[in-house]
Amino acid sequence: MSFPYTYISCPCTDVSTPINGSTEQNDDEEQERTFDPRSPRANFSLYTLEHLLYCEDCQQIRCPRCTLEEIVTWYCPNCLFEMPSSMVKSEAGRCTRNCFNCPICIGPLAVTSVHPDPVQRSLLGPWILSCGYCNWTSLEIGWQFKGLQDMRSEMGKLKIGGQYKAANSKTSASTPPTESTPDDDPDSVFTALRSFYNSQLSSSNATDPLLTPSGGINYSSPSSLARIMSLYTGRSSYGKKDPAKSTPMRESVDPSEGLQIFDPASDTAAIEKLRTQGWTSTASTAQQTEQKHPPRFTSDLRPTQAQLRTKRSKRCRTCRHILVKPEAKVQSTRFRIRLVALNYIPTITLKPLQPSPSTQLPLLDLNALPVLRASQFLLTLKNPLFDPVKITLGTPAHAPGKNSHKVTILCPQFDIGPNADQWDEALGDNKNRRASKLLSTSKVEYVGGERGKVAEAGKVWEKGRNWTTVVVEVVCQDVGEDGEGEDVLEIPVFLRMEWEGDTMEREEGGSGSGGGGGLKGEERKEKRELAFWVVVGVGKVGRLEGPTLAASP
Amino acid sequence: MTARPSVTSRISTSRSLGPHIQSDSTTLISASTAFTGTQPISLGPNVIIQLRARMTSAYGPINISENCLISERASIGLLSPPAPTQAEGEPTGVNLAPGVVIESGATVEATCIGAYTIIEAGAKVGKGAAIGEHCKVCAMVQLGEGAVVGDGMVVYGSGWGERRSEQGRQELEGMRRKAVTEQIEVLRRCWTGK
Ligand SMILES: [Zn+2]
Ligand SMILES: [Zn+2]
Ligand SMILES: [Zn+2]
Ligand SMILES: [Zn+2]
Repeated sequence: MSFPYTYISCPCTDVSTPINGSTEQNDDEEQERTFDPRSPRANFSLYTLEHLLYCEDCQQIRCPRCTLEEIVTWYCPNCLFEMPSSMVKSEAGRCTRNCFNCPICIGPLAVTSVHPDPVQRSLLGPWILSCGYCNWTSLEIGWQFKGLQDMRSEMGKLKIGGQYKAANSKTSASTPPTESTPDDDPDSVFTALRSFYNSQLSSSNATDPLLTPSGGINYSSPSSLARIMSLYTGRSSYGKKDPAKSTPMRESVDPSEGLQIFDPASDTAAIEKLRTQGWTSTASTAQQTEQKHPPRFTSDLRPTQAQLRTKRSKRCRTCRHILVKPEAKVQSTRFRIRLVALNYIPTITLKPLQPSPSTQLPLLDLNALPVLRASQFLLTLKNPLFDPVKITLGTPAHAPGKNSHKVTILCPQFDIGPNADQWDEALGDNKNRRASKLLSTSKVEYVGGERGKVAEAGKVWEKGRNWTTVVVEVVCQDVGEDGEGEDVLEIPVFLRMEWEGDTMEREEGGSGSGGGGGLKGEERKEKRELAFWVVVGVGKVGRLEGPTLAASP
Repeated sequence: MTARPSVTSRISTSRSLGPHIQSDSTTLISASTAFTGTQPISLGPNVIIQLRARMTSAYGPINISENCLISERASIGLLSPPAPTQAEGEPTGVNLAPGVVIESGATVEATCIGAYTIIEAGAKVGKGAAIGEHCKVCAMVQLGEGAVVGDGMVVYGSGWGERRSEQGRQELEGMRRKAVTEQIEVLRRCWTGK
């Protein structure tokens, strides 16, 4: 992780903490007030500002935990074809066109012709699939396609090696399949087994309410629910049949029923293949999970149909208002509604304030912060709102963790100017214009660098048009040798912002989402506030100075 | 094996002198190509070296055979002294067989690269590596020092990459050869106008 970083804690996690906790947890309660970035729970509530949304109706930050997602469109990432949601389930979420993914590297496969005459190649087959990235082609498994129309079903009939599967061996029960060529294709074995067990189930207990006629299990009907409940409550009387009546189920006994007899020769062949072709010929776990029937070797991998992607809209979990709504058209990347927190809450950045060159102290290194010596950092808050904001920062005097580094924000209360038009400020008075130099995060700043400026308690370090910088002073304790992650200095900061925002007139404007610029009769200002915890990752605490200093470069 | 040194640690000691370049009348070299080093660089017929490519012969000679294509900002040549354990008579420096394509931004320090192999954009091939014929080193793959890749292999994925050998490439081998020749021809027409 690179320092410094800022994470924002979504307040929705507070709901999960007990409100009326027992009195014996008094000490714990006190500790829960200050947000501890080290607690395991913190990992689930900390987000970067870019990942947060903002609900205008609740006037609150919304994180992925406190939003609801709704699928707007299903589409294929390869051909951008939009699939109607009614078809998605029956097609198992895969594209029905000639969109396939490489079995080796999951890149999209291109359909190319291998017609011997190069002139005819754009028109005539046979066609193959080829990967532009890893150079895999369907020729490696012996597949060539006759037509472009129905590659999908043709693929279903093909076996690895290019032969066609035996046509429907299960229906021709009258003619027993020849022993010499049992269909060992995993797909057909599976269908044979499935139909065999379905017939077994329906004949053994035809009245089982859990089973639908097609052989699936039906949990939604009232009778099956009653049966499930009776299983749990122990009243076994429901649906119990005379054991004499039901015939016990038998297992499949021949290849037409999906029986596969273990062949020791296949094992020897596999071992031989491992010996000759080695590690590179085995399929990786990632490759296997993409397949319907995970094979051992890369030579048995089949191309997969492209998986559909979705466009989703997001709603506030509390008030159900839409926070994000993308354009339904697949080709468009625009959004109809997008209430991102970036437009509502200040961005927080931290950078080291280097010691004055005259003191001859070494420059601050965020990966080795000085121990037992005050180091200063510049904390800059940038206001995205069009109204001036009043900020109050709070931080525990000692950063959480057993090392308790001392943290002081020299000026915890300050204002940030509005994110107004550049023109406003150009037309404004001279004093304002002077202060409005650009905020640069890359510039290295020194104590006393410009006009001999030194950090003072209660004073803002620097102020711009819509940003304000204050100084944070940190005195790190010696962390010693132990523990991973113990040397990371993270400061929890409680940020409270107050501002006067324009009220949204609910009663006259209607509840039109976002209030698309209705009537602007009277502009009433309303006092608003928002408070949340921020975690600022400052850096790693270095080793205690002295003998170790000489060793470090 | 250690990580290969970064490009910035390159020291061009004798910039003013420059290497001795031996080339053919059909070789096309961009004016913005940076030749550094003192050891000889030989460029075969029909070789095209594109904009801002870097040829460094400070630590070993460079030998590029015919019909090779060096793309923009590619770096060819050793960037640090070769391993001292090299035996007498072994090839030194960087040697490219005919029809090798080095894509933009790739860094090649390999001892030899076989015919019609393609090193894709941003890939790095470390010192002393030997790549076979008709190989493909995919974009951004980093092959370490002394890596050996057999004929017809594809190195893909991230970092050191995963390898697989191409089967059924006999039909496509001719295609790739043709593609390289065509690419070079088109580039030549663009450059020279004929
Ligand atoms: Zn939340
Ligand atoms: Zn598709
Ligand atoms: Zn692939
Ligand atoms: Zn809401």
